[in-house]
Parts: sequence; structure tokens; C-alpha cells
Amino acid sequence: MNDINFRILSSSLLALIGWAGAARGADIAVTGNWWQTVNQADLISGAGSDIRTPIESSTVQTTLDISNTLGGSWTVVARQSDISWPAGVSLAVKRTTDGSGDGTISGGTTYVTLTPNDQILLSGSGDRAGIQLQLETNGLSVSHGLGNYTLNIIYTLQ
Amino acid sequence: MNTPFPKSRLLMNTLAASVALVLTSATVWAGSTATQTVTYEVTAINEISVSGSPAALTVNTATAGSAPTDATDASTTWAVTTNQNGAKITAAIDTAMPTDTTLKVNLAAPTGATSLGAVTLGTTAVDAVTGISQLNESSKTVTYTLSALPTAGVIASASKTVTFTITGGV
Repeated sequence: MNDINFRILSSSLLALIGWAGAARGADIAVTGNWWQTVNQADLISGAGSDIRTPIESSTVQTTLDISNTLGGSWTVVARQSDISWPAGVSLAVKRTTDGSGDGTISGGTTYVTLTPNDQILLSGSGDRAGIQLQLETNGLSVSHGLGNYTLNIIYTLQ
Repeated sequence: MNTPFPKSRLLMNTLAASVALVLTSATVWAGSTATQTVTYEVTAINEISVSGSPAALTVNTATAGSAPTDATDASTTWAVTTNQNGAKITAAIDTAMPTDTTLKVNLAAPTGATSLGAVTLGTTAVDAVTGISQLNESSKTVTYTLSALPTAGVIASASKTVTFTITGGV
């Protein structure tokens, strides 16, 4: 291998290492858990009717902050991890604000129904702070009985 | 005497180290996660309603040799929603019926529950339907029956308030 090829390859590798190093510092933070109480006021039309669906959170229920991206592109995926969640009830997430920052943001403005597998929620580049999310449940019924039902949403920056 | 380190060997080592670094960095990137907890609390829901009041019940005929003919009304319905198990419906009237008259009510049972049939109403609540579990149903028929013995005589028109209560679920 001649010197020119060696230098080109070495430079490329250093650039790749540099890119990877920049990505390594990117971080995602989430604030704002959602606790929703469901009672007789949530019946569609009183006695004889079922619980209304969907049940939505506040439009600013949850805030995502993405930082330390060094201007790089990113995608946020999300999945659910059941703790105690009834069958037939789904949870969906959507973005309600762009947040702020030097970067860009796109996608996620319509509800994405979560599953145990990562679903693409939104994407962008650079740092963005204060991206607000709204949540909704679908399919809750009186047949599920009373109690507390919990799941975790895991947001991953890719 | 040291052997010169070939450039190709140096390149291979550099490449291996670089790939390792890239893989390590990519792993850290993919591990950047944040977790949010969603909880909803469903409290006990027990709701019952009726569609309205029945028409006036009038006992005014009889077959000769028999007691006066009962008056019945099945023009109203009831609805129920519960997210508990084993709930029941009780019924009671606000004041006692005149001597030798009887007012009964029969609630059609929702799915999986048991109607106790035509139960006699008094000021003490009686069970009308039992075993109601986690359902919402409507348009279930309510049947009222007014009976009067000949000894009741002629009685002026009066109204009773019937109270249905859903209770007892767990």
C-alpha cells in the first residue's frame, strides 16, 4: 500500500472516529410523568355507557430535551415497557411543540401508538430543548375493572 | 536490532482500533435513553339510571269470582355501568303501600347477572338483581305490577318514589 492510500485511509478513519466521538455525548432527557384518574365522570354518557376513549393528557404533559449533539442528526424512538397494563389498552404519543434551539425538528405531530418495539417518534438535528409531548390511551373499558395500571415509555436517541 | 514495523501492519492495527472505537461510540449513542412512567388509576364506577316514570297503574277490573286484575307497566327501562364484581341492585319505595295493595318491580337482568323476578316493594330495600360484574348495558326492561285485594276498597290516586341503588360490588 502506497503512502497516498495510507494517508487517505488514515484520514478517513480519523474523521470517522471524530464523528463517533461527537455522537457519543448526545443526551436525551424527559420530564413529566402522567398520572390519570378515571372515574364515573369519564363515562361516555352515564349509566349504561362505557369509559370514553381516547383519554388524552395535557398537550404539554411531557418535555423532551436533546442536548450535546454537536449539530449532528438524530432520531428519537420510543417503546413501552409494561409493568401492569391491561390487554387491549394502547398508549400513543405525539409532539405538540417544536421546542427551541439551534437545531431542527420534524415528524411526530400525529399520534404514534407504542409497542414493545421501538417506533420512530421524531427526528431532527442539533440541540433542541422543551419539545412537548401529549399522550393518550385507547381502549380502556369498565371490563378492565378498577385498579392502578402502569407502564414505562422508554425514549431512545439514535 | 528492531524489525521495521510495516505500514500495512500499522494500517491494520489502526483500522482494528478505529473500528473498535466506532463500535464503542455507537453503542454509547444507542444507549442514550430516558424513561417516563404513565399510570392511570381507575376508581370504582357504579352507575344506574332509569328512562323515566311509568304510566299510572290503575286496578279497575276483575273477573267475576277472582281478585281484581293486576295493572302492569313495562314502558320504562334501566341502564347500568359497573367496573366491580358482584354488584347488586336494590329497590325501595319512599312510603308504605296502602293496606291490601302490593307494588312489585321486575328488573330484566343484564348479561351474567340474576334477576330476582317480581319483588315486592316496601320502605326497606330489597334485592332486585344480583351478580352484576364489570359491564355496561342499557335498555333493560322495568316491569311494575300493582295488585289490590277486594278488601283494599277504593283508594285515592297516589304516587310512590322508587329508589334503585347499585351496591355491594368488590
